[in-house]
Amino acid sequence: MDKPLSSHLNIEQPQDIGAYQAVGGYQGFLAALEQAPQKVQQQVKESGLKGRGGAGFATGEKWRFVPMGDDAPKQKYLICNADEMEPGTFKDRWLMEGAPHLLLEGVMIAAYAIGASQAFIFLRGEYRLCARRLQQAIDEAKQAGLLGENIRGSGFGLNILLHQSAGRYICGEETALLNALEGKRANPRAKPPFPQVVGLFGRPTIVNNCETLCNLPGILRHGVQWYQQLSDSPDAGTKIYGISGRVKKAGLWELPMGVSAGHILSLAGGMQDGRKLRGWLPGGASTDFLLPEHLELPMGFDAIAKAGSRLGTGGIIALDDGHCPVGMVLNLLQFFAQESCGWCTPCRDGLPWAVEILSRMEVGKGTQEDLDELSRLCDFMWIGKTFCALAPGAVEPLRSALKYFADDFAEHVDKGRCRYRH
Amino acid sequence: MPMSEKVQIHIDDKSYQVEAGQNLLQACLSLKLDLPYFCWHPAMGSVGACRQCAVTLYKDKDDDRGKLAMACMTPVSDGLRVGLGGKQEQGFREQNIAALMTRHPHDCPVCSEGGECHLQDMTVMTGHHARHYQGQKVTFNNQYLGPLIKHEMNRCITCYRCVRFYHDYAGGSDLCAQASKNHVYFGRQQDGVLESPFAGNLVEVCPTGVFTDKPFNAHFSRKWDLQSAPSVCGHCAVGCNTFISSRYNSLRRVNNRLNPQLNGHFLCDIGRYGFAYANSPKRLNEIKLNGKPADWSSKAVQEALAEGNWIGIGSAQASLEDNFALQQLVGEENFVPGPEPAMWPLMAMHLAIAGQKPMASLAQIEEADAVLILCENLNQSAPRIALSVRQALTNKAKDKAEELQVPRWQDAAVRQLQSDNPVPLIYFGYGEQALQRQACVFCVCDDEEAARQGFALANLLHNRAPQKAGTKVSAQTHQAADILRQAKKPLIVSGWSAGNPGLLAAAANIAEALGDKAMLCLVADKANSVGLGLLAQKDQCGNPEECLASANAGLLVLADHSAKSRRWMSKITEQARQVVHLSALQQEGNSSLQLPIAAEGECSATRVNYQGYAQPLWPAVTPPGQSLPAWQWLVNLAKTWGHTLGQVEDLRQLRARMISVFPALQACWADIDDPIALQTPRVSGRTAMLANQSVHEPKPPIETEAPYRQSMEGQVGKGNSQAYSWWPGWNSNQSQHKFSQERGDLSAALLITPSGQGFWWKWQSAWQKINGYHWHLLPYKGVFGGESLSLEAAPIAELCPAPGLFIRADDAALLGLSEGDLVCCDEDSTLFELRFTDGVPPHSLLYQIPANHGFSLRGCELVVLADEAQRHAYQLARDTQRAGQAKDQQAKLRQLLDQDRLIPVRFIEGMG
Amino acid sequence: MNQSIPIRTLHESLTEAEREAVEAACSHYEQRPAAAIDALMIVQQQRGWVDDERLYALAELLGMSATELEGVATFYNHIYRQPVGRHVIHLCNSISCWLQDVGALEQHLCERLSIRMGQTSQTGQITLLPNVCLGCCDKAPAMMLDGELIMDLDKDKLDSILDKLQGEGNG
Repeated sequence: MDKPLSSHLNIEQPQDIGAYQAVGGYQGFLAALEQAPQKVQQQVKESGLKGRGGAGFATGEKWRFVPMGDDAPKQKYLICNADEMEPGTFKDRWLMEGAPHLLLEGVMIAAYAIGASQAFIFLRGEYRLCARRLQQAIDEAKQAGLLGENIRGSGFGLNILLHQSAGRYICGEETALLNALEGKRANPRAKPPFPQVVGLFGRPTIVNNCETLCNLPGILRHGVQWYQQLSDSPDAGTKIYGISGRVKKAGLWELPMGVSAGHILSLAGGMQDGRKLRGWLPGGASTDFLLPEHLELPMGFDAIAKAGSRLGTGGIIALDDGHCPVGMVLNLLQFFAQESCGWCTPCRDGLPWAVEILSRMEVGKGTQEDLDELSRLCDFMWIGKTFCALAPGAVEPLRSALKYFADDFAEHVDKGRCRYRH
Repeated sequence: MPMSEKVQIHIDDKSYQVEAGQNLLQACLSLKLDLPYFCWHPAMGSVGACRQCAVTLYKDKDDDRGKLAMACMTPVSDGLRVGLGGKQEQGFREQNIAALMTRHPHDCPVCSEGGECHLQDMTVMTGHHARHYQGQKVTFNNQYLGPLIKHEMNRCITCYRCVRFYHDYAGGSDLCAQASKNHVYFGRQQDGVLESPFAGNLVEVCPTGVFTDKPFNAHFSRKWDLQSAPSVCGHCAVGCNTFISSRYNSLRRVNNRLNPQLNGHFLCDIGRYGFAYANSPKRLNEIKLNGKPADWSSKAVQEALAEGNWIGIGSAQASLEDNFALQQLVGEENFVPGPEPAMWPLMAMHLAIAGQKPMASLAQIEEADAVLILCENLNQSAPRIALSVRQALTNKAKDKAEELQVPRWQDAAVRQLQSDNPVPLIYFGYGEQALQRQACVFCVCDDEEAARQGFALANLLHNRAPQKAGTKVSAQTHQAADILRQAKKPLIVSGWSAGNPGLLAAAANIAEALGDKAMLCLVADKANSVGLGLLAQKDQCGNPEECLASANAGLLVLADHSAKSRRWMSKITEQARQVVHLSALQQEGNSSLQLPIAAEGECSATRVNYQGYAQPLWPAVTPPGQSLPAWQWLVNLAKTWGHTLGQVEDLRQLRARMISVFPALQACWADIDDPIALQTPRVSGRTAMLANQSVHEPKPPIETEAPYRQSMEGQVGKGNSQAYSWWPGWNSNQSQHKFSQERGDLSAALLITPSGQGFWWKWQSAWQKINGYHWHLLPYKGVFGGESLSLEAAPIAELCPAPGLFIRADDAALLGLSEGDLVCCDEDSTLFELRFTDGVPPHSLLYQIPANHGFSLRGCELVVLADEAQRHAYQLARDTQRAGQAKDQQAKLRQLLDQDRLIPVRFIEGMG
Repeated sequence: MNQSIPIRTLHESLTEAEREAVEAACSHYEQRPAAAIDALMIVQQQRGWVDDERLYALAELLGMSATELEGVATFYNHIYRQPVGRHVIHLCNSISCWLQDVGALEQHLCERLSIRMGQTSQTGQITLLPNVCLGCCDKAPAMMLDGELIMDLDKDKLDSILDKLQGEGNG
């Protein structure tokens, strides 16, 4: 099986530019330079690549709104969203630590496709090893004439700047990220105007996730056909899937889009001895719980959505029978309440409210009214009611837990205690 | 932007026609429908933060589920189907309030916002009444923000309006959002006085009690206990519309009265807090003869006022009525338009130009797409205009937004677009103000050079415009010409603050050269400078100094409280037989007889703003002690003289005489058959003053001429003639938001009709300054302390900076002086703190001095460092002054509070 | 309390290296204030945290007000506006670590250091702070010590780390 993302990935000692080029690295970028930018856009669109950051929006479609041509603004920006902070998600760190040049090549292709001469990699500050390796890769690429003015005589020039964030989950939201890069408080912006038209410093800007960009070299080098053949599911390409929690061997695997969650669990060696799977979040903290019965579903955008959750980042979090579902939801909601930017009411004040209720409930001091209030809060913080997707993301595990683990909640209320607490 | 196109929308299955281009929240409010909101503001647009104005949008008739959306972020469009009163949206709105209430304290009884709190109103509106949340509330520390604003962060509901107003709208940089999640904090980096001269608006912008009016808190009353009247600010020539409010016959506060043409929703701090001069310890409450209390009917007073040769000196700080009565009494030939001869040519020039071209209103100023300011210290002379100019700077970003299919009211998008779509601001002049920092072309020069370049600019724009021979046209002037040529709605601003009529002429020439597209705004000196000028226009006492010398005349003076007038006054009073001041404040020296007159909010009056609009203002209290309106004293005097003015029995008759001279005033004072109620229906819910004895209350004594009734009886009032802002369910000043579109009709009359005929002004040698000084001293007033009446208001006096001398850093280096040094000019005794700025023309120094401090040098040879003894004396004097101010203020406050206790008793017959 | 801004020049408040680094950061963006976060991090790397004096100096250097810069500084999790110890431990408290019972480790840390989460040990040696998901979910529990990630934590591993840190303090 082709593993275009990870076949040359080495977490101990990533390839330097020579080694990367020796196995065909930067061929995709050089192939792109041979074509008109619109042609590159077209290929990416046809490839069917969907964003790997969580929302699953078609990458080519996103690019389409960038003004192109002679009338278009001269200054445009390409931004790699490497602010990986979704709990249970660690794939981008793996890619950046293990294959920094792959990401750079993806950035270069995307920048060329939209006509951006400046790119930023917006990296979460905690990923220091990534920062060192990416910076080294950038320096190597500059040295090799793959960055800078007039690259390989193409007339296209590009600089890549590594920006290390000072830490905020909301920076992963693309418009908040723009504010963060502008040195402002990272509140999300209203859309429209969309970043493609009015983005960083008011210029046309594309923000793509790190893993998404890593897909581009393969598409440009091997073509659309090849890319689509990587997977036989409705979604094209491969994906870095992962699992964490009380499994035997938590980790990441590059697999064709649409493999089953059960397969991923089996690659992890199943649950730890003596632990049983009670439920799982398919793609990070902001996705709805699914149950063991859903394990055979393909991990694709549509199939998971149909089951009532979201593929998200593809980082599965497994809840075992040794942990309290109420406690897990409390931990998740605490995360979201802590990371709310404080801009809109439902998120800023609704999340701490839910945390307050769950905190009591977890220690057996909740009531039936509290359960009703939690349901109301789920509705209150749902899509369209908040300014951005942070609070609706927080609602997903909460509302599904209320549904799937209703008995556990009821037991906390009825017995006035949590059986997982000693 | 005119929005005349209409669209049809359906709200809860009823159809309405609303103006296109606005958002749904605005549309609902204009239809008088109730929809709660916090972060939206009619002047500041939408950001979608509070999520309170949720409605359900339906795709079509058959859609029965709909989708929740924020009305403030939804443009109205033809056929839009909206659910406003359905379970889904109502439930959400209630829950949203409930979420805000997880942090908001239930301290309404002790909160000064209580009873006029937008949050209270909105909470009631959603039906939320009981708290479900059981956790701890987040609490914050408060900051000291200066004498104007009190900070109480625990009440914050995080709507972001304060920083959107203070930082984004008004350009203040010392109030920002800090921290995040439910710990977001609105404050300064550390305790300290808020720097913006618009900070007072936070009181009204904040939907609850985070930012409250500190002086009002010190002598507090609930809104429903206040007696309010429509008034007009008396501290500059703009004439912002206000409500002035009182209780127990003492003035308590001023807040904004919406006038879409002028102040809109905001006032400057001088306008909001300056009224307190009426409560100053220096207030004159009784007749004083040679400094001692005297009786009107006493022989000494009557002798002092005996018929004879009198010269009347008018005042731009006094009303049109007062000046008119004085002019009538002494005769036109003996009437002097104010005690500042330097202002007379400015007055004449202003009126001549206003007779040609209309003066742009603030609403028009906000439409400009290029702005030229010709040496006018707008920040001080008309802060509210500076704020409007600042709004004009967003116009190109708004146009760009529309081009991108984003509505103009999408505030965040517009601000995002502003740096790349700037409205050019051109500044010729000196100083360092917020606006100058935003100028794309800034030519540092003095008033004379600005006037010369202005003439040159007009000449570049139109070859028939006269030029001053020998002017070297600056590069900035060429740039300005290019910018103004391309502009569609260029605005030219100048005014009286530099004291040079040439600037007005230059501005008029530039406007003339640009043709019909140009807007012109000339800022007059004081609240009624233009009104005074209109009277003087008739015929003017040629040279009062000569008149005095030849005729052994007495002086009847309507007080002008600025120190600038003192020098000339002291010169002419030396020759006067008798000096009689009609003043609200005690006069120092020079005056033999002082008659106490009504101050702001104490009598009906009329002032004429910079545009020539006469605006009436009505009293909220009666004048204290023996005080009368100045015109009333003059009428009384006329009676003793047997003068025809003595036939006037009341204000109505005086005004009838004024109408015969200025027919346009008819509109201003149009009789209202059905008087307007001064008290809101909420007054029915308050506790009667003497509740322990009777629910009946004595009628507050107040003028009968006002078209207002001292009760709930009467009509609510249309347009901005309303006496208070209230609407059922809307107790805060934000009830005005519901009427923002229908307040166009002003009960104001334009006294100057522009002819529209073009005219080119020629350069006059009188506009050139006297050369020969090493350093030219240019006046540069500060916001606080630059205006003399407000300087007698305690909170403003506290903010008045020490005298400052501004110098270029390189000049100071040559002199061996450092920033903060205490210096004086030549032999003059005034000590200045030295400050550095780049905005000083060559060979010049800018001096900033409180308006009540005399300083008359126009140039000097040396800047002298103060010696140790001087420094010591200076510090001592300042400390003493501060301590004195604080003590006086405390004493006055105590007196007012004592008076409150006595008043109910005083009102009962026989117990006063 | 109204403390006045110290009258010290930019040059006294920041080292030349710091000023140069901030200037370099400014050159990366269209507007100087955009370098605010980089600038704060530059100072923090040198000094451990950002005190008021440095905040004022940076604000001046970046062409923004101190209040504006404070608004940015206090928004982000990793800019310290209060002093921290010589070493800073950020213990991950998000879901994957929670599932590996990080709570017990937290308790152990707090007991050994005799502090609560958010505090600095008495010797000023170690500050203990929580952190949201560190992206080490496959090797949970994890923490960050002075910016470097440490994974697969257990009590023994923690003890040996603390021993080393505290030993260094004694020696």
